[in-house]
Amino acid sequence: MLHSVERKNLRSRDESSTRKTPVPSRVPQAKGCERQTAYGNQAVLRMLSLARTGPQTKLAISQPGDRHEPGDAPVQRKCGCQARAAVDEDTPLPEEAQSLGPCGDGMCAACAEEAKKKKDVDAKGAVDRASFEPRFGYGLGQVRIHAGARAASDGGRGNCPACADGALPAHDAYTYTFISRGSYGETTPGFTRPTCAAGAGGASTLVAGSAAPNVNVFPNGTYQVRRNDGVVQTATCTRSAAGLALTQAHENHHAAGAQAGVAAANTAQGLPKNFATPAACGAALPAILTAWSATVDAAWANEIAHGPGTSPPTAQTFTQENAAGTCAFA
Amino acid sequence: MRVRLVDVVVAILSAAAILHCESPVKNDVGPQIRLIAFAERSAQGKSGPILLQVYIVNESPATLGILNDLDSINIPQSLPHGGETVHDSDLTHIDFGVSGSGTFIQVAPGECVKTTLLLREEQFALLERVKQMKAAVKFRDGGDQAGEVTTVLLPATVYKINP
Repeated sequence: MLHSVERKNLRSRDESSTRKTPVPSRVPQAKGCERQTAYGNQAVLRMLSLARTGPQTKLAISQPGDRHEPGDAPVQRKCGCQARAAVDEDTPLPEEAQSLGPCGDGMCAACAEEAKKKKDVDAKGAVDRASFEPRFGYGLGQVRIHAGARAASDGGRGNCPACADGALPAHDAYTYTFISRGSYGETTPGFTRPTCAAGAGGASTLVAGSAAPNVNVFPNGTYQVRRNDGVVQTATCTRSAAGLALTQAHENHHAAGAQAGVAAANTAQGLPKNFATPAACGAALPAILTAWSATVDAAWANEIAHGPGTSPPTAQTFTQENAAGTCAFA
Repeated sequence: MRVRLVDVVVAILSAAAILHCESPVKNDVGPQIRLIAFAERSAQGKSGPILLQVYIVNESPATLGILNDLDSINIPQSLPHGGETVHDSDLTHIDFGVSGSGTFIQVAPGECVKTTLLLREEQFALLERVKQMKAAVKFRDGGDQAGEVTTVLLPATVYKINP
């Protein structure tokens, strides 16, 4: 391991400086190096640096690919990325491994994590392969199981060509039982109740109430499902255009119901209504407001309870969305 | 037998709600049904789902066929002032659709059915703040499997379960 080698070399140098004996080296010493014992390491290094001659100083581990030291990459792999190197010698090293910190057991943290993931995936993969290869009629030995960060971004398809075009989505290997679901739309009615407002010449107007509904249709559906191997997962699915349109229509129906309720309440109370004075308006307001609110409350209660005249809510479509391959499982 | 802490909390809060809640959750006419809800973030934390578990309790003296599903919930946008009731017109309506898996369960007096919904983060935050909601419950009288379905809009106190 490089770090242990480095430590060993450092120890040797320390010991050598204490004993004042030259350090044996595989690299032939340049002329300036003969002065090491007389002037000390740092002085000799400074001289070598000024003269731009002598042996190349040791590369920092963060400089792979140096033509003067072609052996550094394997060393890096051996030290920092044993697991990664064992998988694919040509794969670029992770950033963490290129700036190696303390090496621990010879593996950087990122590589240790990757090695663990690969081990887990390999173990699961063996079971899956035994199950699915006969069904597919295709050996999966050459398919690289992809479990890293990229897996999330490419939908878990890895580098399987058959999966890349959507012909064999990874999630098709499982069946799911629906447990529960999240919301797919919401409507806030945005009611404004009647109020008294100053009119011309000291008069007052009881202004009609209004509704400014806010409809929100969620582009994703969330479901809790149980996989056929017993694992409970949360699926987030991109809803289909048709599903979104149905949801939009349903929420719009609620919004229209809110506006219809307000219109009915305003008509029933004869709003807007003018009064000679603000005091007269204020005196009439409580009774009108009570009656107005009762009408609007009833209309909105009918909407939110999906009562008579309201469309039933659209059925959730996890099965269709999952079949379309739009679901991500966590 | 292991008893989960969450179950104990649910049982205590349920009993407390039944004992101390005022009559608004009951109907003056017809069967009496009470709703109690618990909002809970999953053990997976931020990455996991937020569950809203709603218990529909039959408090009438007769057995009722209660649908173990809710197609929507309704949350007030703001806290009512002391003593005021929340107008239905102040409720935001949240649609969950029809699951297709709901069935009318025969529920004896004093028993309940439970349904679970998944909340979005902002819905959980709102419920955590206002601690109440309303939901439309569907039920049939007695053991009549083909009888007329009645829908009632009932309030519920919402308790947040701390992990």
